[in-house]
Amino acid sequence: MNAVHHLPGEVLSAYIDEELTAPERREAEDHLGHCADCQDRLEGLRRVAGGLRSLERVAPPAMLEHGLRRHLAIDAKERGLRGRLEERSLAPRRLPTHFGLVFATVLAFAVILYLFAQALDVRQNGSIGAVGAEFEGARPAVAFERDGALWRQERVLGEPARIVEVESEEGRRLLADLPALLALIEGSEGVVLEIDGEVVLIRSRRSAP
Amino acid sequence: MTSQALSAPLEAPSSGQFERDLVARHRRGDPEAFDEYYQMFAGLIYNLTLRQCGDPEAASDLSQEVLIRVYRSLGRFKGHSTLKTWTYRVCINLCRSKLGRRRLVTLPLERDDGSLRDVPDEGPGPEARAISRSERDLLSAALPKLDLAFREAVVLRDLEDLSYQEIAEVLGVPIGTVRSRIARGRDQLRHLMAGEGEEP
Repeated sequence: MNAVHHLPGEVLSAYIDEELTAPERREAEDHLGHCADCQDRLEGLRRVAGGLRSLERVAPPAMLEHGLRRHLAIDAKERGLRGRLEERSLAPRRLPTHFGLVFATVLAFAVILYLFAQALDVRQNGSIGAVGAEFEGARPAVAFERDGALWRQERVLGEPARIVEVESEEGRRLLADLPALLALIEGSEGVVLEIDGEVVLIRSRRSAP
Repeated sequence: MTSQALSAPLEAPSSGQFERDLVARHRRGDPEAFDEYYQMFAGLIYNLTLRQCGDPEAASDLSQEVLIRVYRSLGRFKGHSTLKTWTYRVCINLCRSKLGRRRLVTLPLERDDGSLRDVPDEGPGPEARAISRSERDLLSAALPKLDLAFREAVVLRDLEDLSYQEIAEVLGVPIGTVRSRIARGRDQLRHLMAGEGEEP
């Protein structure tokens, strides 16, 4: 009994795309001329390819450009600040005196101590998600992760000027800009942020009335 | 970014020269250069991410990340490939890193208000007209369930209309691999469609 040979799937698929060499194409057409099974498979693959090509293109949502514009503005501001700091650090200056060296060492030590204390403080507050709950107390705080670093801001004073529900359009937009906030909001009452000088509470679903 | 509408140039420069100029302007800090890039490629990026992840909101987030990445690295674009191929590559790489490990969601067929989500761009060809609406819906829902490597190849071929050579450049694999992935992806889709088309 002779074994029945069929065309491999990738030959049929490349045949549809006209990506076979001339000899491959001739061989495929010879086979297709007398093999009903391969003709059926070819038709099935054609329908898949045709169906995919018929899926219409979708216009990008307006919020994409809006979110991008906002993000790039923040990015530009941060880069400008970084640039100014770099300029300052590169500017010509007098060599530090002995006193200056001692002062710089003490200052660096104090900064390290401060950062260490801050890190401990964050840990003592429990999970990051609990930081948002500090709004319930007297001192609202902000903490979020950005570019791999944990940012914490404790000088957001006063009651929030506005409350933004996490499910609202603005809430979604803010979370799109700072997706790390999601981790803070989950499992907490919400997060307090200072946005363009205005103190805003992004309130989680859990605390919604 | 500025929000000015862009007018078409009277004489289109060659794409290579145009791209070099655009990159040079972006490098010099001309904000309109990135606006032009956005006008040219935002649709491509959004559709590619949408078909990769199957969820409009996730696609919007991914597209934003791609565009931010482009904004930061466009100045270093060397012109070894076309800007379009480079854009596909940035997009595919980001989708891989973000979607590689999580379960994908399917694309709903209609908006909440019942209106169709797709915005017509070009009319379907004769082959596409023979495809029923329900088949398109099935395909749309089945696509995000494909294995990632097959999905990338199929999307670049059948939705973005790239040649096998172009797909090989974007994915950084030999043409034989592209051929095999497209075939296996289409075959998986054929089976997925057959399975989902059956009544329970």
